[in-house]
Amino acid sequence: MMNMIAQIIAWLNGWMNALSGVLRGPMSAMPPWLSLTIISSVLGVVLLIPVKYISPQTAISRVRDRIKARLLAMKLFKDNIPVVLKSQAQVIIAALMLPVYMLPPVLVMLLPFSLVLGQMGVWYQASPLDVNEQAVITMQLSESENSPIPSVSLAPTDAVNLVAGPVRVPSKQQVYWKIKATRAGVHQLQFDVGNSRVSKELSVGSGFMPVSMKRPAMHIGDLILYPAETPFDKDSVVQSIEIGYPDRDGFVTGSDNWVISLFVISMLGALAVKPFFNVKI
Amino acid sequence: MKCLNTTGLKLAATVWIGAAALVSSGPVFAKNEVKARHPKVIVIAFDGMDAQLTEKMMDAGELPVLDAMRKKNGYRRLATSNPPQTPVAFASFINGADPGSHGIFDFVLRDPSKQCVPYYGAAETVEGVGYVEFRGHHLPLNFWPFNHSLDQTLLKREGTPFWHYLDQAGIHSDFYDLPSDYPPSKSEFGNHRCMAGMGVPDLLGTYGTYQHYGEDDPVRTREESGGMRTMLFFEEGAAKAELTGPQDSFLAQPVPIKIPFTVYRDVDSMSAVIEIQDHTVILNEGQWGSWLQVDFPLSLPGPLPDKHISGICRFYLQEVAPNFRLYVTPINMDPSNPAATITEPPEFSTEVASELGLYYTAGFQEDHKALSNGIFTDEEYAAQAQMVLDERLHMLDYAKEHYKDGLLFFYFASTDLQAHMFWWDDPARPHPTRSKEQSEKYFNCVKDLYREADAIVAGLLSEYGDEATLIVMSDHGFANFSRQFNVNTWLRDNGYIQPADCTGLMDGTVDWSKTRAYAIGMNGLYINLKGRERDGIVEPGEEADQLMTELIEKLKQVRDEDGRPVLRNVYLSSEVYHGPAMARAPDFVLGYYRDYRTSWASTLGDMNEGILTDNKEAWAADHCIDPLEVPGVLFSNRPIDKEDPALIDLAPTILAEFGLEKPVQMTGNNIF
Repeated sequence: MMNMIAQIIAWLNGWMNALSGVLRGPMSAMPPWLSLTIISSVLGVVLLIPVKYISPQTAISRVRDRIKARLLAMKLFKDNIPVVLKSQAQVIIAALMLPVYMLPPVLVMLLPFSLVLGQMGVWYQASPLDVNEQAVITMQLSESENSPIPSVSLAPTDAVNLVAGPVRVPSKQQVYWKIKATRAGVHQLQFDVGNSRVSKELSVGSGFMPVSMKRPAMHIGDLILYPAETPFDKDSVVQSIEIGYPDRDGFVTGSDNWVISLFVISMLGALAVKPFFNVKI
Repeated sequence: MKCLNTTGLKLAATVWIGAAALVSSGPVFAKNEVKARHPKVIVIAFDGMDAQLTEKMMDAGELPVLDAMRKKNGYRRLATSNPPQTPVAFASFINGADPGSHGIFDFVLRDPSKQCVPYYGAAETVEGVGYVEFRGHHLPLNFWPFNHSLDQTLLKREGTPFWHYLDQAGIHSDFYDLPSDYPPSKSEFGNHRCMAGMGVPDLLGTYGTYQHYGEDDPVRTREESGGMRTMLFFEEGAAKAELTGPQDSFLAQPVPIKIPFTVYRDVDSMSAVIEIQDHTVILNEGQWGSWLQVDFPLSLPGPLPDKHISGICRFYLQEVAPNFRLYVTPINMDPSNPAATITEPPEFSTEVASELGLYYTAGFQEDHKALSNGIFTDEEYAAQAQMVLDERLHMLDYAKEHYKDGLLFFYFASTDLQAHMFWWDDPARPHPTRSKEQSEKYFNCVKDLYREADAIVAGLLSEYGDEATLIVMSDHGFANFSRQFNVNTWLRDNGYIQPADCTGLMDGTVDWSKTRAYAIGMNGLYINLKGRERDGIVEPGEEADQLMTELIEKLKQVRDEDGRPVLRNVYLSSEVYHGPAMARAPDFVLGYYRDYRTSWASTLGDMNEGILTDNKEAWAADHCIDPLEVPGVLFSNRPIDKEDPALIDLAPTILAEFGLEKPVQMTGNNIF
């Protein structure tokens, strides 16, 4: 079952990557804060649609009216303690009902929203390597702990210089390299592992560009977090290859901060257009 | 109504004229911003750049740029301080007056109230007073109503630094790595920035403690002068170890904070992975890692959140197999988040780090202790010293980029700390630790540094030309150090320290009621004076004077086994120092001939066997001798008029360049 979900997510990621590829030109051309603002605002508006059609709008309206009525009662009968207490309890119950009514649209949007978040992470979570900047590559193998590590090597390329490694750590079934980026662009690093060859994308440059931190295995979590590259098969000797990119600077669009910015901006966007869509939240 | 209208018109006219004036003056303001407001003076200090070697290399055409300055009357030997020690010399440079003005007389001074307990002469750490004890912790509460005081380090330099007058006049001054200014003194008017240099400790509060991990190191961590060694034990290619950090000072019984890390080695590829906190360091054998930030949590009791201090260090993988060896630099204060104030203003270190990345902040950056203790080979020390120099050259680029006008001072320690370890200019005599060929080979490292200095000056001249007054200086020169004088042993053997079988000033074997003189520090010698020393016995006045005369006579008679005199001069501090900060001065300053110095043991009061013994340390060159033996250098792109310039002349010279008068307490004079 999990494998099937993973396959579906991998398939959907393919489509999302294609869409992301279309947006790549305009995204690269504008400053990160602007693209984040546009995407977050659009996302906020789009999220209103399932809320409008899947959530019980009449029930939400009724609950909101009930809350208003109880608040009014509390104001009118503020000297009548039993009434105030009862109204307070009813307000709390009603307020708790609202998230329950929002659950169906949230569940429906969970997967698409996660996929979008994953795609945005490719842009906003990490910075590409600068030319001459060093980074650590970690390859995770599938064999059991302490079994011998097959011969591994990083194929020569003019995109990077090998600074150190490969360091094989059998107890963790990991292999490490330290590289220094030498040429700007999006490159494919090739690794020879035993008799097979695998690749990993590497982003180098000073501009705003997508960065795939990890080529994952068929694990649902990793597929959502690292959607940009084709995942390794479940039975592949290599289970993941990760590059330690630097965090992205910036208060609004820096690493991790972009998620907060996304939620705030999308919320504001949704609240701004809510009256036009006649949506009750 | 008419009156109102007139007033309104006048007001409108005034506003209009004012606005027009502002608009028209806009370009004028802009023009003024572009044009430098003050002259430019750039001072480059090469610590320990020796006059004799410099002249020899200039004569041989090896320092063409400096030689060109010499030919334009822009070179003199620069008289150093007495004694010629960096903290003393730079404090004299800062005050424009001799050590009597600033009170820093030696690397090591003594506390007479504790009967000669030694301490670092340029700064002193004072323990905090008061705390609240709570669940095994001592919590100092430095606010009302508790008003506990925290531990603090105090700069012992007295007097007014010359930059104060620049600061007061609105003239900017930027200092990088200035010795004798830790903690950095405050800028009163906000026109002074300073990065403190020599004197800044590492995060352990020492002047540099490396950590070494090896399969053949002691099982239990062994501390040695300037470092620690710990055994690593590998199991299935992995070994666990701990990085020792600063003391967890909030604990009632403070213990060092230890950060665990794991090392994985791959013998096939001769490389290793080090995992520490959230860092993964990959190194091949012989490689250095980049600077890492390491977080040290200071524990606080119960619900209070831990405090954190940040340190930086670099790993160096010396050997993977057969004997795994890993070196870690002293843990420096993190310049992007320093645990103590190391710059003025405090945010200066952060600004530099945000542009340059992390850098050495401790005063001693070249790890000479690692070489002395056999952790580094000569080659490894040379490589580490080159890394330090490269880092400082990047910082010089930063300094130039952010320099508009006023004073720029930049200090290089490399010429000193490499010379201490690599200098050997007398091939006829055997080097303490190297063969003749090796000593010549490594002496070339010093010469290479001088060539590098020449290139640095060339760069500055091509960038600034006559636009700036350039002053290139050194605080002292250098000399071989092959023989060491056990001063306290000599004093004991001559009956000045009693009893005859005592072994050290600090080990309780000295009978102070019969001891008349003792030595502490690199050049200091003290009378056990009644009323000044806790257990003083020599009466001030005639008795003390007689003793001083006797000591000077006898010390000047000291001869080495081959008949060479050891002391060129013994200076009376009352004759060579002048100023208000004489209280901590030694009574005598020992001025050695080249090749001699106070012994390692005597510096801190110990008494080794033999009065004159061989120096067997890798630290085979020194400058703590007679100032006449080790003058520094002074170059300028302007002709130097003064025939015998001294360090104390530079402060009044710099002030004069900005049109400021020499303050009365300065005893130096303008060199131009």
